[in-house]
Amino acid sequence: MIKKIAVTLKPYNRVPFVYQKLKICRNCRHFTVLGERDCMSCGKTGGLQPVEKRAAGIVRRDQWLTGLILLLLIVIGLLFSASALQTVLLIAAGAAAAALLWTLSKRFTPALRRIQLQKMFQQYSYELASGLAIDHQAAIRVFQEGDKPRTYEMLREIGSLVHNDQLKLEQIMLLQTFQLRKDMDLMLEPLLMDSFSPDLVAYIGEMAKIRRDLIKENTFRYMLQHEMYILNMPNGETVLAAVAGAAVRKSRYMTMYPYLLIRYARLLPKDRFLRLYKFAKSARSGPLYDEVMRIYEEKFKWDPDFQNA
Amino acid sequence: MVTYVAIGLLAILASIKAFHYYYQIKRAPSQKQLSKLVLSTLRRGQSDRE
Ligand SMILES: [Zn+2]
Repeated sequence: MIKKIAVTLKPYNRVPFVYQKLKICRNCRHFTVLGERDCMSCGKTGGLQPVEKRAAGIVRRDQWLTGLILLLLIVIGLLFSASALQTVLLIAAGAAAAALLWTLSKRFTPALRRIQLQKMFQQYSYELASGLAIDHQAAIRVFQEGDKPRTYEMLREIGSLVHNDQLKLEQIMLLQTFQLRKDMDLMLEPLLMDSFSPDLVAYIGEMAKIRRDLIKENTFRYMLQHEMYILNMPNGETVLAAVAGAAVRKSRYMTMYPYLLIRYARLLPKDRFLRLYKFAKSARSGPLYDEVMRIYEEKFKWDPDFQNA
Repeated sequence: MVTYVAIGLLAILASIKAFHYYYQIKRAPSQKQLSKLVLSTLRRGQSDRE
């Protein structure tokens, strides 16, 4: 058993859309999710810029350029104007064109920025992929230097964009060396893998103890899918029971995963079983009801807490 | 004469720009699509290297 270390983790910065985490270097087009200001690739200080800001800059530059051409045409027209009529016509046309373009650009700027972003991601897809690979190498370097919490924070950022089992496993292995606390900004569903992993199961077990709220549909499904392997683990049954205890949190979960509860109801602590008992009683029939009543008769029949339920 | 040419060019510039905007807006991706594009690019990038 490894000795777990006490750590403080920075809170995870959640964004509505994952691409908003990306930054790009103005100088060499290196992409990153880690850098603050300076580019890791070319070393330019202050070279990094959020991709959204970059796209906004390009759109703004285009709009300025159009405005400049417009102004140039008006100035040339004015210089060569031969009569008052020509001047009036020119100014009217200029004003109309400016008003039209201003209204359109005002209205379409958000969409134009998204188009720029799309172009950026498509055109520099190689830089995007290699940028994230460089980020991963940087995280490994920090790990070798011995800063585990920082490594985890870096992997967590990379993991928001790169979804693969290796990266998830690296995060879980690091988390397993930390003393995890309720108040930490932890996550579970993004770390679920396709394949069975004892480390992941151990982590789920820990979350079932300190952060039940993180255990949701995908976790229940994962546990059921790999139940046979989990039962072969030294404390696999305890983890399954703890997860069943988390399912008692919501009646939706109890309806969706009755077999998980049937199999592990017997191992639930009293407070968890009481919730399940109340739910089963309201359901009145079915295999879950039968099993819960059987356990109730055996273990809790004379318990005063159950009399009022 | 030059002034009329300038007026003509102004009109052409405005209409080209307006047309271009409308044409582009139609195929503008949503933010969700942009996220998907990035995620799929990175998935592809990985399998390329493996
Ligand atoms: Zn750079």
